[in-house]
This record gives sequence, C-alpha cells and structure tokens, in this order.
Amino acid sequence: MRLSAVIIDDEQNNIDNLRSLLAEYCPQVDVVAGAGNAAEGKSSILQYSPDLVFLDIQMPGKNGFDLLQSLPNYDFEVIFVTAYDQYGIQAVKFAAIDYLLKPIDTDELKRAVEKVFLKSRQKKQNLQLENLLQLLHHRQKKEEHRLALPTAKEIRYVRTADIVRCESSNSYTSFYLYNGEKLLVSRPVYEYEEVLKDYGFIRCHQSHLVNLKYVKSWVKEDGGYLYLEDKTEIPVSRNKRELVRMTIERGI
Amino acid sequence: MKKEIFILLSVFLSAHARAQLIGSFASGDFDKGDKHVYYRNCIGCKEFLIDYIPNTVGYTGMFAEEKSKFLDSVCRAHIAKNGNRVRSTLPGINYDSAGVQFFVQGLTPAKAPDFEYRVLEDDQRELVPWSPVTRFVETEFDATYPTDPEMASLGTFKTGWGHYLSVDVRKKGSDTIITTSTVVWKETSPVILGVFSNKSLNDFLTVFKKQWQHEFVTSSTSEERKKKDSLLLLRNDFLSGDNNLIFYLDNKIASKEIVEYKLTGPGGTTPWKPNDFDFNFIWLKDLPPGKYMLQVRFSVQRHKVTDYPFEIRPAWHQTAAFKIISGSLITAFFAFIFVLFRLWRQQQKLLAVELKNARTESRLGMIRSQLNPHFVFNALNSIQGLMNKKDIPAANKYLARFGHLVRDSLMGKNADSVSLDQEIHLLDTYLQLEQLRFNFRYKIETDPDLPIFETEIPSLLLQPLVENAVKHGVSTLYENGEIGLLFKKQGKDMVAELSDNGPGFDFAPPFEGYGFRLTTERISLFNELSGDRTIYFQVNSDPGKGTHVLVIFKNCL
Repeated sequence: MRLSAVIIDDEQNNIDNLRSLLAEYCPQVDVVAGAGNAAEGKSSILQYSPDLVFLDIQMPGKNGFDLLQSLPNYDFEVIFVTAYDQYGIQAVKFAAIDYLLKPIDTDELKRAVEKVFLKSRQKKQNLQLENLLQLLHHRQKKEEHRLALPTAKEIRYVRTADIVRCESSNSYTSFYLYNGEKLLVSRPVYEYEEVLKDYGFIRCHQSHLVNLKYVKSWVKEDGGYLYLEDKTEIPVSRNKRELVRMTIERGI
Repeated sequence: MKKEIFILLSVFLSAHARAQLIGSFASGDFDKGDKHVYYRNCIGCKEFLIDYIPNTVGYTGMFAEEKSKFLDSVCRAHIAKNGNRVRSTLPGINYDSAGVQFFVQGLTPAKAPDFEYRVLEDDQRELVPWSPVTRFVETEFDATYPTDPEMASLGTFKTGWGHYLSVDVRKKGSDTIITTSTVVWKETSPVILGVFSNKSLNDFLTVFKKQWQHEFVTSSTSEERKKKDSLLLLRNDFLSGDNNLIFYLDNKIASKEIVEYKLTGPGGTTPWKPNDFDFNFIWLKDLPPGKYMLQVRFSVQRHKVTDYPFEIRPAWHQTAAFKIISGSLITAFFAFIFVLFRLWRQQQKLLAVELKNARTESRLGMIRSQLNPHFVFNALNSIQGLMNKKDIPAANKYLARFGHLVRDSLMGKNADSVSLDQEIHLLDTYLQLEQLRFNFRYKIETDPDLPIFETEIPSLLLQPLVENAVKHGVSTLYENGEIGLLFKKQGKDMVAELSDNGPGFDFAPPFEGYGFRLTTERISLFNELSGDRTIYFQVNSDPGKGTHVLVIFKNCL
C-alpha cells in the first residue's frame, strides 16, 4: 500500500527538500502535488484527495490553519511542518497531531509517516483534525477545548474542565477524570504541563499536574498538600510552594 | 486608755441642774478635751437625808436624741409602777451593753445603817432584794457638794436590751422610797433621715446647720415640719453624675469612731470602717454606677445594723450594651489597624523578596547558558564537511540535531527548568555533534531508579561543563578520548558525574575557566532562589589524571 501526499509550503526549496527526503526515507509516499500557498493547497487537496498533507503553518496571507478551515471535509491525515511557531505548535500538540520541525529530522519524518500509514488503512473522517479546527475556531472559549489523549486503544477528546489531575509514571501520564475514569497516555507529564498551563493546571509536584478548579484547599501541614474535590491529597514540593501560592492568590 | 467615762444622767426635776436641757431629753456639758461628759442633777434633797442616786453609764459619744415616744412608753410603765416612790424619775439611757454603777450621794457610812436598797428589773423582778448598804467610795466626782467625803456604792448592774433597771433606797422600817434611779438598756442603730447628693448639697447644709436648733429638731410647727420633711428625702435612685452622696443620720455623734459603715457595691465590699467625719453623716464620693447596700451601725452595738440600699444609674456611655459595642468597635478598629499593618509589612517583605528575586532572575537570565558561538559555527562547519564528503544521511541527521539544539537553547531562555530527560537529550545531541569533529567516545548513563521524565533541573546547566570536557579534555585525544556522564539517585538527591580522560589541569587560582565560572555563578544565583533545593558543584582535576566534575542536585527527587 502506498500513500499519496501533498506538500504545502510557501518556499519551493522546502517542498523540494521534503520531496527528496521522502523519496529517500519514505519511499512508500507518492508526492502528488506541491503547493506554494493556501489557495493552491486547497485546490490540490480537492483535486487529488490525498491520504496525507504536509502543511506549513506559517505562510504569507492565509496560514495552514486557515487553509484547513476552508475545506469542506477532512478525510486525510496532516503532518504539520514549521520552523518556529509557538502558538501553532501549542494547538497542534493539544490536538495530539504530528508535526515536524525544520530542519527536518529524518528519524522523526519516518516515525510520523509510519503512523499515518497505520491510520489511513481505513479512510475516514479525521476527528483529530476536526478537533484542532474546532479549538482554533473557538480560541477564547477555553472551556470548550478538548484535549486529544492518545490512549492505547483510541484517541479520547476530553474537555480540560473534566480533568481533575494528571499523575506521572515515568514516560507515561495518567489522567484522572471528573467521572472517576482514568486514562493512561504514553507521553511524559512535562508535555502536558506545557499544554495545560494556560488552562488552569499547576505542576505542584514533579509527579503531579493538578487542575486548580478541583482544588478545595491547600493544607500546609505535613509539608503541604492540595486537597482535591475527589478527596485525594496531592503533595506540594517545597520548591513549588511559591508557584502554588502565587497561582492560588491569583484566584482559583 | 481607760474607757470608763462617767455620764451622770440627770434627773429631770432637778432645780440645780447645770445641764442644758433639751426638750424632754437629758443632755449636758461636753468636754471636748477629755471627751468626758458629766451630768449631774440635784434633787431637792434637803428635806431628805439622801440627795440622789447618780449612776455611771458607759460613755458612748452619742447624743441621746431619742424620740419621746420610746421614753414615754418606758416612763409610763415606770411611773405606773411607781409604787411608794416619793417621786418618779425619768430613766437614763444606756446604749452600751456594759453594766451601770449606782451611787447614793449623802449616804455616808454613818447614815448607812439606817437605810437599805433594792434593784428591780422592769419594776417587776427583784434582782437585789432590800439589802443594807455596805460599800462606799470617795465622793470625788462632785465637788459641788463636798459635804460628805464618802458616799454609798451600791454596785454595778446590767440587764438585757430593751429592759430597764431601777435602784430604790428607803429608810429601814419605812415603805416610802426616798430616792430612785432608772437606766434603760436601749438597743439602737443609726437612722438615716435623708440622703443628699451633690445636686442637693444646699438642702443638706440647711438641715445640718439647723439640726442644733431646738425648734427645728422638735419641729414644733407643722410648717417647720413640712419644711424639714421636704428637705429630708430618702432617695434610693440616683443618676450617673449624681454620685457623691451624703447620708444624714439622726444621731449626733461626738467622734467618728462611734459610727461604722460598710459599703457593698459593684466594686465589691469594703470592710466595716469608722466614719470619715466627726459628724452625723456619711459621705460617699465618686461612686461608680451600680447597685449598692450601705450598712451603718454604732460601734457600741455592732449587732444592730441599719441597711440602706440604693442604686446609681449608669450613664449611656456606661451601660453594658454601650461598653460591649464600643469595646468591640475599638477592638475591631485596632484589629483592622493591626491587620493593615501586617498586610503592609508583608507587602513590603514580599516586595523586597520579589525585587531581590527579580534581580537574581534577571542576572540568571543574563548569564543563562547559551550555546557557545564557537561551538555553533564549528558544528555548521562539520555539517558542511559531511556534505562535501557526500555523506548525505549524516549531514541530514546532524543538521536536524543541530536544529534541535539551537531550538532548545533558544527555548531554554523561556523555561527555567527542563526535565532531566530533555536535558539528557540535549547533551546527547551536543555530544553527537562534537563527536563529528573530534571522534571521541562518550557514554550517558542513567540510574534506572531515576525518574528522568519527572525530575527537573535548570536548563542547559550542564552543557558548559560537558563542553569543557570536550574542549579541554578529549579534543586532543581524538578516538582515544572518552567522556562519561552518569546520573544517579542518592536518597533525595540526584548526582551527575562527568568525567573525561583528558590531560586535566591545575584547578587552582588563578584558574580562569569561562565555563566553570559561568556555572559557579549560575548555581549560586539559583541557590539563592531555590530554598533547600540547592545545587552543589565540585571539580576534581589533576594534571595527567583527567577531570571529574560532580554536580549534586539536593532534594530534587
């Protein structure tokens, strides 16, 4: 089985470079078109209906997200490619979609393509992408944003308000949800700390990331811990106390 | 001092009386110096051999100012039982519980055998039946009648409160009692006639001035009586400011020891104490609001007490409600001030700490490790070399790694700390790139117990040290060069051990290694901010033996 791919990047050099890298490292990918801007990209996608789109986020005029939003449906996989884009990458991470950073690491390229290869055996609506576009569309309505959690079985989309806390166990992170459910995700906790810190989460301990919304009280005895609504006690590291204090003062 | 002081109670009918008589009461001279009062009277005695019977009543210092009612009843009883007495006598009053001595003037030892005497209680019970007179004393206390050097002493007698004793003398063989003397043991306590406050001080002075005037005391006319009654008010209720009270007593006194009082009030109870003045009033000053009980008694009759309850109303600002409200307001006010002060001080402290932290952080930011420009361009040069060797896969690989490194280094500016996993990844990338140039071997090991995804360390802290190991350690050894980096767990601490087999150096002043200096300064700034999560840094290097760097991250696990 082969994958058809469209590369959208405002620099022709980058398109050529990726094309040759794919030819060298991912021979199962057929690059059917290259597009230099959002409009071209849209028509290429509509024309070729590719399995995979390599999409640069930062482009003059309409950017990669705008392009996606202008499409009627998403029956393809996307690998974002960017040089340096803090905000865009945050959203992409939040939606758990693969991305490549320039200059492209061939190992990462191979890994990302491999994942697409596994997923696109059955061609179906790309929920991850829809979720990403949803949250980009409602940027201000943070409570509506759903964090994509790739578990072993499936990708779960969870509203951040429903996450009580996260607990790290080595390179895995367990999510404890409001309804009592526990989800195990194969990503280190610091990645979620970075993604969730703008959603009222605080890393009060090296193993714990807590949603401040569920903090009932900060008990300062026994070295200090946070007492959560689900009656769990989450320790506060000594070096995190100042951070916890400042965050709580700013208002839970 | 001998307290036997003699009062010779006068008998009213005396023609020779020197005493000043007030109404129906006996009164007399008042010797201020000795506090002795002598009363004498003289019965028209010439017809009889016997003059009269003086008696000695203990001196109480009280001016007998009895209501005639009482005496009248005693007198009536006494006179009714006059029997064969030649004349009736008014009884004398004894306020003391002590006995009274009776003498018969003119009854000399020579005359005595012809006379006999008896003592009657209440004119009924015979305490002493008719008996001969056998004892005599010198008649020293009446110089007016120095005719007889001696007179009869009949003895000392006493009876209970409210009873009276009569001593009669008659000629033997005769029924006629020629002379008699009666003393009543009168139980009494001070009577409060009126209470005056500072507002009615004038009334008090009017009453007090007039009390010695016969007319006023006897209140002969109804007008006078009315006037007196209008002045003498027994008030029990006083306003808050009306708190200097004068309790006016009916019994005139000779000295302040005679009246004793005790005050029970909101401040507790004062013990019984003598009056503060030699006059018949008690003056209580500056009484705080509350309910009081004033008790008054004569020192000679301590068992008999007059109670006088009264109350001083609190002013509006003295009421309990007001006190509670104002007290809580004042407390709240001071608590508020205190809290404000605390907050302010905390704020100041916080500001100071924040300022210091900000300064430290900005210094940290300034010296935060950046990739050494020397390294950056050498790495680019190496990649160029790979391209020229047409080693495209290697060029791709290292270029991507270099990209990561530059990105991490740039991102490191925004993140104080990174996970150990990320830092190791960065160091690995760095070493791979350096390996391209110098072809040394390296090994990064981590203790399996170490939670590398959770442990946080200051970003790029170790990079300058690793760079030192490359530059000053293995760079000249090429394929013989070896660098080891080991992360291990030591209780709550994490230890990073970096070693190289390079030439080593003399790590003594004036050693000026840029990387070490940078790291030392950064660590000391970090330690200022991080409480107990300090970092300990140590370099061991000897020429020829390689270099060992030890970085201990205290309490980071």
